[in-house]
Amino acid sequence: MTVRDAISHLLRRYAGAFVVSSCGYLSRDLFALADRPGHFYMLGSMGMAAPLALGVAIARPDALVLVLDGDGSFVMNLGATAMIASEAPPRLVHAVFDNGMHESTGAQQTVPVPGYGSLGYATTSCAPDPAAIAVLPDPDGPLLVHLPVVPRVNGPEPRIGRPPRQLATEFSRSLRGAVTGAVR
Amino acid sequence: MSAADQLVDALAGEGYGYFTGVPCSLLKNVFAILERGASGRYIPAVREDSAVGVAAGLQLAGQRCAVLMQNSGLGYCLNPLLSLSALYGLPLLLIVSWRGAHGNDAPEHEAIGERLTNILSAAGVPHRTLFEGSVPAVVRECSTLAVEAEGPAALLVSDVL
Repeated sequence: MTVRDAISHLLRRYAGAFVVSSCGYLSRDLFALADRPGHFYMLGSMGMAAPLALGVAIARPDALVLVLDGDGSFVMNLGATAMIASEAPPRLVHAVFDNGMHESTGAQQTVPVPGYGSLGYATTSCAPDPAAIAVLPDPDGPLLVHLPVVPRVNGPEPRIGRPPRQLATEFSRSLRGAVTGAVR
Repeated sequence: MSAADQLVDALAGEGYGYFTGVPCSLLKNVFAILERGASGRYIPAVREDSAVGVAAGLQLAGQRCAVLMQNSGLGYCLNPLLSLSALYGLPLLLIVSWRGAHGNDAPEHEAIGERLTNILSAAGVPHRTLFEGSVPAVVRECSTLAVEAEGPAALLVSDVL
């Protein structure tokens, strides 16, 4: 499964979710695939997508919140998973795209995650293909989804074209104004 | 009313309904109040950078969240302070204990303690010290600094509250 296929199917499965994407190629992939006000593209701060999404989920427990993390950024901040498990936001989906490498910086190896199932999330699933993504459960407490993916073959998507402050303003307006992440 | 109570009351008065961070002994009475939960929701953080991340998410959702930490934690969160809070223009009030402010603290607090204001200035983080004026006035001033800076501002606490 490619990263783009996985993102597309996640956006379909969790339609209307507010989405927070980790820095590097993942944010560019999301931006290229579906640029919506309910999407927040992290441009730096590796490892901070999950805590930021936790803050969003605490403020908006009614809303579906989807985090797109890489295996490198996920393992960088396993501590954040303890916070998510402890705070237990009811509708947070934490998706980890696992290509086994820091692809954005030149495909260096990542430290393997020791065990996705032992991190205290209410539910943990592995979805290796689109069919598995299509039948992922609705979150009932924090949901962790492990997505084995292949490295990108056509290189990265272009950089995100709007200034960071504009991205934040759009996301914030969407969060404060809508029940779900509205489609532009 | 204790200084810790005054600080938490002042924060609540400025609209802070959420608190996160990593404790310091200088702030132990503040954290004790926050843990009781009567003044807002306290979200214990594993590390200071994650606290800044959580506060950014809350801020984007229209909520005010103060981040409390020891000055030793400043280094852990320097990157998200600059490339998250400041980059995206998100106001953020930091309550930072200042271990080593008086020069006779434990040795591990000296390195950052003696450089604290220089580090903040170099990072472009405006800062004030508690007890420069009345607690509510300084909290209000520092919170306003964060809003005006559209990024982090730090309120330094050099003695136990």
